[in-house]
Amino acid sequence: MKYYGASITRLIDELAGLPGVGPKSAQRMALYLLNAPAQVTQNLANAMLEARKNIRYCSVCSNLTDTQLCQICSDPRRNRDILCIVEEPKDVSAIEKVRGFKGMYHVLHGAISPRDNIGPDELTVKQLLKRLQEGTIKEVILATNPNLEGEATSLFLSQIIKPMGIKVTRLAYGLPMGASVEYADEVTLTRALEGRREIE
Amino acid sequence: MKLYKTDALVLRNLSRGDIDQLLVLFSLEYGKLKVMAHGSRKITSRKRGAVQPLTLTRFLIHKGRYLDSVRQCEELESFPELFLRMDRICYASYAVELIENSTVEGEANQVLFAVLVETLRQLGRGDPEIIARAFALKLITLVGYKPVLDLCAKCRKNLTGKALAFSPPAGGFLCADCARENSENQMVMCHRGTLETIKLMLAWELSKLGQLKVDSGTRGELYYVLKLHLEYHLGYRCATEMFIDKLRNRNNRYNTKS
Repeated sequence: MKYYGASITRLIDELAGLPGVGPKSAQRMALYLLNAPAQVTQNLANAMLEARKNIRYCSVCSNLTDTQLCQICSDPRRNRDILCIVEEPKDVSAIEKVRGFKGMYHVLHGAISPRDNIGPDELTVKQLLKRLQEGTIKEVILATNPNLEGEATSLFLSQIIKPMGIKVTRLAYGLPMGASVEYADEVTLTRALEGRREIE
Repeated sequence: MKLYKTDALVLRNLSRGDIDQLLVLFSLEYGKLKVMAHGSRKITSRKRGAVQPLTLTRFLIHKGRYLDSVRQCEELESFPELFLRMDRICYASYAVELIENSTVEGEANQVLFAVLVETLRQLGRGDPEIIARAFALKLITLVGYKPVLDLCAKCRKNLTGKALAFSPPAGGFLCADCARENSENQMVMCHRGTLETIKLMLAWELSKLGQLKVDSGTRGELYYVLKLHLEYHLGYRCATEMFIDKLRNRNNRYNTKS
């Protein structure tokens, strides 16, 4: 990027460091920001700094929030008997979008990965256990991803939660809308058959 | 258009962008491969199930200028029993990590491929720790780092006596005399039983290893022998092994507390 000045080159390099942004996209964004009204750039910079400064983890569920308690944890209408454990904050937003779940959440901020030496101590398992020991939770739904890491995480959590006398359930496996039976993998198809339901 | 077909085990899948994955495969015909599976993270992707780690898949791959890409794939075997227990997941991850780090891209090793597939089958049936140790021993033999087991690796005399030592720099087991002289090098002291267990593990088929009874002392020595040997020859420390140690220490800590 020696064709540009040092400050544009730096901006392009910083943008190219973001996930999913290649050098061409970074260049396009940088040139857009330079050509846009000064207020646009100012607002973006302020939004980033403000989010960075104010966002923290919810003291109960470890979700991202700008207050001590997140909106879900401070909502008195939520059912405090059921706890849904997810890997990332974006999973909370995905489940909230379907509006079918009215319980509470716990965000692990990752999944157990033997290959990457990521164990329970690198996740928010300690905070989860503390929460479960309070005794209000009757059921835990393990909503980790159905992949190697997600399965390892749910196996580990079920091993430590079940002895506490709490009901442990796992999100059902099945065929997604728009998929075809022909291309379903063995595990999905077997578990979808096991969990089949009568049509009402 | 250049297309080629191969049966391969998915060792690892790494997310690329929102919907793509970079796959690390261990294939029957071409050894270790890195290929792109475009769109495989989409919820309705036909490739999705077949590109999960620890899945044996038949791939149709398009040869690209820089990186090959998956055109079609069909799952052949998925080892569902592995996902029922944490120790099975851990030792299956250990096996694929060793394969990924001990093989070279593009170099086929059909015997090793067969051993890996059989290991994943047996991990779902037998004692995962013993199966995984036997796999590691077979792997180091197949990639050319088999330790000297019949004679002292230093003085070349018969290994007599119950107390022996294992030294990766020397290339195998040492007799008690050589072990005393070699004390400054990386070495682990072990019993004759460990040597005999190693010999059995190498000689027996993986499916027979369920009959092998290994006590906790031998398991411990086997762990150190393999750990030292793999670290010395492969030049890195196995992340999954560190994870297993961490989990074991954590469980011990909790058991002691309760």
